[in-house]
Amino acid sequence: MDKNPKYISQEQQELFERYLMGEMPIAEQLSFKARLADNDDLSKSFEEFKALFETVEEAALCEKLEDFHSSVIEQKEETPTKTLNISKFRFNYRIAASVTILLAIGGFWFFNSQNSNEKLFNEYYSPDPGLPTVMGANDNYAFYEAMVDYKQGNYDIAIAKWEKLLVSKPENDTLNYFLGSAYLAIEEPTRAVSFLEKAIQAKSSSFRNEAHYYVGLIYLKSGKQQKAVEALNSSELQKAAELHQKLTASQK
Amino acid sequence: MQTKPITNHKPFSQKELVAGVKTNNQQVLQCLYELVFPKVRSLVLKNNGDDAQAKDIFQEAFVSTWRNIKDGRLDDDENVNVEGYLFRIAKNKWMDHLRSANYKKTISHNTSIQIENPSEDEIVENFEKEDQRKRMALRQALDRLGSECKTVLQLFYFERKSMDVISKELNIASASARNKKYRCMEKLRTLSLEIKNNG
Repeated sequence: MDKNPKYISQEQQELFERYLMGEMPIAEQLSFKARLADNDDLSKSFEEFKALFETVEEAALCEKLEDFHSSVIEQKEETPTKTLNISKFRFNYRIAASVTILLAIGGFWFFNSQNSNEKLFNEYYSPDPGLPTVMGANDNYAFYEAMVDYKQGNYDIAIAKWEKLLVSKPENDTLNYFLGSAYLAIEEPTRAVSFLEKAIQAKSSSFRNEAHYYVGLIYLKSGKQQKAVEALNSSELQKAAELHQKLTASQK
Repeated sequence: MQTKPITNHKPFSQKELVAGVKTNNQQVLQCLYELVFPKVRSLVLKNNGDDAQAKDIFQEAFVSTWRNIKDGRLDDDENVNVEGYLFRIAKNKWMDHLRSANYKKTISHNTSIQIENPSEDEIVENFEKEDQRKRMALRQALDRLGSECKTVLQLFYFERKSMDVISKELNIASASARNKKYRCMEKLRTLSLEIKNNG
């Protein structure tokens, strides 16, 4: 094995990995590229490593493609039974829908306070749909990658990725707001509140109204009606005003 | 900002597709597969091919598309359409296949796609073939690497799992997982050099 030039150091390997896996901030990428351009040895070892890296990646992809393929084939075979199930479901759904309508006509004040809070929460809560993800070689790449997970409903993964970013940007309102929203979506309201309040504290945050609204909803669900009213009052969203009105009306 | 419920199978925007392919996002890759494969399959079936050929040609095209996106070849395209791009590559590959089958059998096919004359694509293709030979050699090296090494490397490079997660999955200390990754790459390189030197 001595006839071959020595393998790169562990530090160098990890540097190459960070570049290839898109984990370098843009400034570092540029300086790394510049170093490659005027260092032949470095460039050679990088190209060699890149080929190895890509081989591993591609082999793994090919294995994945086999999985995807079997699931495409399975889906095709399952389709007829699925359609049947859907029509059955629709039938039940109609009954359920009419029951819901009847209940709604009856009005929420028929329920005891705890129960109606829960119902109001369910009526008014839906997770923030997230931001449109813009792609580009910028520092926000990691943020938007997690946004893709968030939009897919993989809240745990999004949380893990965003929390990493939060280490270097603890005051960032966007990060805090979406972490709050993700925690709320996985039903961890206590954590959600602390992130949302952090987002509210940020100066002139564009998420302030949404954050107040979600905080209000969380208090509502946990039965802290007074705090819910206060939070909703701070939000300028239309639905916040609407819910605020309902709550104050029921208090009288 | 209005709020509405999100669905789990939300179609991705083109930019999300590109970004997802670059990071090997499994949902994105799977979505792309499920969107485009049926179209390629019906093209191949209508043009003298069978299911197995449809699968092979499509997967080959999928890997090329994935590679090209990673290399940034679609980055400057404002109107990028990843599904269309993948479909075109698959279609071209199938046409190449028909052309070569034609050549061997000298039988005229009655196909619904027009078989075009070989073009400057051919020159590009030769480069690709050389590239492919190199990749094959590396692939052999990977096959000889041993499953433990292969797993560590694939989890880190393809699945993009953190060293912490990998060490938990394999039940080893994080520091030794990191070390293992390094040693495994070194071994892979040694194997690939051996294969290269022995022809």
